[in-house]
Amino acid sequence: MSIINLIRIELKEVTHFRMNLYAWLLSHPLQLLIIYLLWRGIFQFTDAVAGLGFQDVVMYYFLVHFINAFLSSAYSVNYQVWSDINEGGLDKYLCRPFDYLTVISTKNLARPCVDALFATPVLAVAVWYSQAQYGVSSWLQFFIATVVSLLILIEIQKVIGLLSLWLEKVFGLRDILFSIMMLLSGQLLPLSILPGWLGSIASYSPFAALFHAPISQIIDTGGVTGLAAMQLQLFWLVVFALLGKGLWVIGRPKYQSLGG
Amino acid sequence: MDIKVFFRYLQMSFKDLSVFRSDFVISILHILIYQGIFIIFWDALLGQLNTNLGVWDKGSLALLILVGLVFSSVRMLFFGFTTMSEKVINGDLDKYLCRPISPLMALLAEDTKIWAAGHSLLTCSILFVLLNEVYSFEFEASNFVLFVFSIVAGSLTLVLMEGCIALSAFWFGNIDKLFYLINSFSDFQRYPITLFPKLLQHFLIYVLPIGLVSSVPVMILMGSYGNSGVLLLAQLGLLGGWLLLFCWLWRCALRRYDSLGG
Repeated sequence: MSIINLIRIELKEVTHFRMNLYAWLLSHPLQLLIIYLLWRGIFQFTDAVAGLGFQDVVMYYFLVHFINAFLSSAYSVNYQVWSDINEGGLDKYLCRPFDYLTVISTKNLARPCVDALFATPVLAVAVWYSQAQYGVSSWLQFFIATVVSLLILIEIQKVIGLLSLWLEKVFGLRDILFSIMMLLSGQLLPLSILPGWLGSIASYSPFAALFHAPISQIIDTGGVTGLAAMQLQLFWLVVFALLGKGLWVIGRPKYQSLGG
Repeated sequence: MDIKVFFRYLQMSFKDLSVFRSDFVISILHILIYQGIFIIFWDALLGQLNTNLGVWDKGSLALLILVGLVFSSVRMLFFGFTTMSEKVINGDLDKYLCRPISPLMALLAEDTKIWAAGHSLLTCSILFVLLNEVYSFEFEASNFVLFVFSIVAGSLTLVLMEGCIALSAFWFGNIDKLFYLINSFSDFQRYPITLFPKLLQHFLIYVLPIGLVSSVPVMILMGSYGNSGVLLLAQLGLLGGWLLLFCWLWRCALRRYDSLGG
């Protein structure tokens, strides 16, 4: 029930300024239209790019868009952790009988449900566009892999945020990491288009677990795909969860706050 | 008096950003990597295609990414437009309206990111030097002059357009997502507009002038744009038009503004 109430509150907040809501709703199809027109222009010069036809590429970016919308709220987790550490907000968690890292993770599971609602039309268009080329089991694996992507992103963000216990500001590092992530995750372009050596490194990296792994359940874009990609996702989830826990255990004694 | 206030705000902006010194270096590195990623995108794609995209080869596509940084630096100088809606909603404009300074200048100067503008230009320069080693650019002097004029006029036009959108906050309140929508259009900056349908190309040049801060200046610079003279005249006209619209909207917006308390 509390998750439903959280969703209801988020919906009220999102719909308060109507112009804002309309602009946000328009921005999703607009981004997809730009991608569609871009690749239609590129495919004037070729029939296939790295073995992918026009329909495959368009489908690819529909799926990227859906995953991005689903993951969007998780990008602020590092700021939440940084803020709690630097502004003393951590105090209220330390004097209560629950684990801070678990609280951060659960707090950030509500908003993606709302974002998924708005991204669902994009997915419906993707399913219609695919015209049932892909089986139900592929879609099921896609959804499971997308949820695991969210969990991995939250863990990565927590690790970045926890570095605040040692560094004054982590945002520069975060921005550099996000930029590299755009290329190596498959968000910007399919990994099969990258030069061979870079594509191989990328498909085993934790970034590929965010976009490439779920999409590879539907479209074969080279590298590690299907169930092997999901296994790799679970591996990176465990790695970053343990890393976050380790940073917390080592770094927590460094935390100090005054007043409050 | 206004100029003194403006320079004071610039000084504060500089001090604010120089508190964390390492941030300066990390920001440069971030912009280098971020732009480099898009250059790699085009390089990898053209590597797969084994052909150019019409007049666009790897070098000109790399320039397309670079040129975006010039607009970005101009935009940072007018960053106050982005924060305007929050100030309107919270009633923070009062402090500008009850002082003997231009409220618009104070509003813009308070949030101007002079250092971020410097970042962008410096990174643009570094990237140009690096890319020149790889692609060996060659330009005619006349094309370069026209390019500078085009990019500056285009950037100011787009900034004024954003200013007009920012002023809509006086009527519609929170318009953050409207900026998000406009920023979605800014994705067109990274792609040659010649890849898109003709109607869309005209839209991106004459209505939402994203093309004027990306593809068009690069094409002028490379000498592959046919009617440079006519286009530059059109740019002047567009700039003048948006400036007039902005001034009129600002007067209307001030008349509309009211706040309680404070």
